Amino acid sequence: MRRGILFIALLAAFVAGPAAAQTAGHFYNVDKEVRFEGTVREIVLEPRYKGTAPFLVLRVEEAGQARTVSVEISPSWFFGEDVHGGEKVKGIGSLSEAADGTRTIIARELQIRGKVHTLRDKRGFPGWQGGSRGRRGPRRFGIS
Amino acid sequence: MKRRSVFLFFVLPFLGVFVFFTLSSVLSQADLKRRTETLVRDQLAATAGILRTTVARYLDEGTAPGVVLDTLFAEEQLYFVALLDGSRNVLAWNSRFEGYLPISLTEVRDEVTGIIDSPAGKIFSELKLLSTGDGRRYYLYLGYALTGMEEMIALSRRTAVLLAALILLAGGLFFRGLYTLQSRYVVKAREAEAERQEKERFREISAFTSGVAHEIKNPLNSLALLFELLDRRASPDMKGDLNLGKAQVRTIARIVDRFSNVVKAVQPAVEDLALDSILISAAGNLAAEVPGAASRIRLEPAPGVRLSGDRDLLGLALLNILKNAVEASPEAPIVAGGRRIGNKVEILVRDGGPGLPAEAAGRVFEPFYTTKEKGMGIGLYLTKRIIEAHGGTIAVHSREGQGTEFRIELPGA
Repeated sequence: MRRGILFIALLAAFVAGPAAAQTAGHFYNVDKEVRFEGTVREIVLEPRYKGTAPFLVLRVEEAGQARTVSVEISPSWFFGEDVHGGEKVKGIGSLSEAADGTRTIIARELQIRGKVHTLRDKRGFPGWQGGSRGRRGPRRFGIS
Repeated sequence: MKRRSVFLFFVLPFLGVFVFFTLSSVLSQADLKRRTETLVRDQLAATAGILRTTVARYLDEGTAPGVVLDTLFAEEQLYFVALLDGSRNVLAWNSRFEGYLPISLTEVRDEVTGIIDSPAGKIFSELKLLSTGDGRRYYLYLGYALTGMEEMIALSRRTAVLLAALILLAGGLFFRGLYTLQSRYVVKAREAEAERQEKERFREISAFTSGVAHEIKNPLNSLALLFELLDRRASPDMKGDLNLGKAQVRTIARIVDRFSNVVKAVQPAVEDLALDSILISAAGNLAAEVPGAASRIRLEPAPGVRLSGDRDLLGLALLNILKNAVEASPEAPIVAGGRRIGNKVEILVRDGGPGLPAEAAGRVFEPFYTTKEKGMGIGLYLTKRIIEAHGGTIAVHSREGQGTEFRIELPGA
């Protein structure tokens, strides 16, 4: 089952190709934290930051609304949970909206099948960076 | 030196020095941290000022904000940077951690500096206004890693902890050594005191025994002569009583001789001896002294085992032990044997008697200590003196109900 999901996700990433044009506002903006809840309609892997592994992104149909929001989870290696299309998810994240109306939420917490996954801290520091005090290369949003 | 004195004069001052060191170390750590933080903040504020000037110049030249920030981001200590317009909208940003730009634009005033505690360490952050030559207003938001400062403080803390641990370890080792030496000294002092008391007691006993023997021997000799004279003149019907009297006089003389032997210095005439021959000789003498003993003694042959010693004295010592064993276990057999161990010879004598209570086992070699009704407590004491005069040792192992074993160790030939 898990292998199947991964295959779908990889295929989706291949099909999705480069991400659409992004705005400079796509960072974890603590002023724009929102709660979200909905149903997973699509699972994709997308390059989100320069020099990093592709990110797991869920296309979530928001509950009670007919619109879809992209929920940026984490690098795919960090999120060790099965995700299936049609599953209910909810969580907390920072919402950004591109000029073309594309809505993206950088998730800080994601609840799936009752289990809460903490992806970032309250200021948006990524959990997969751990407590390492090592220096990192630049992670600018967008595709190089 | 008493333990209390060791504590008062050594351990307590050491602990005082250690506590003083720890306190001064903690205080200096706090002071160092405060000074370092101030210094670093000042330096970073100055660096940020330079960066603002650089950014303003780039913007004057018409460079795109994204390109400007890319140029700044070559600086490794810079964790994140953002360029905001006059209305505080983010125009461009860079971060070494995906999406991490910890600024709340609704809360900040025009100019803010602070330190953010992140999982990647402390970050010096600053939001300050900059103006280009043509009057446009921007904000530059910077996040500088304070890892260098943290590493320095951590290194200083580690060094202090290491020093404290070393002082503690050295102190611990020193006092352990001191305690060991002191314990040994106490043990030796106790042994020396016990030996002194033993010698003093022996001197007193010797003086007393010699005096008593001397005082008894003179009238005893007279009594023996008197019995001889009476024997010549006595009628045949009195001969029996007179012989009994003479026998009692001889018994008294023998007892006095034994006491006299005890107080004499033991001076072995050392020669090369076969262990078997001494054991056989001692067993033979015992058989002559105690009827029926020969059948109960089983000698384990030790061919070729030779030792250095005085034949007569060692024979007497073994006789005493065998006699003691025979008397202690009237029914069970006695086993005697020996073997060579390195340059020593070990002799073992085991009986199957009732064994000795722990207190008696610890005192069997004391002079005039005996558990027998008719014993005088001389035999084993004399035996110990003979063995020690040969440079050997003797020990007894006994458990009630499990018999007794004497173990003698003598120099081999």
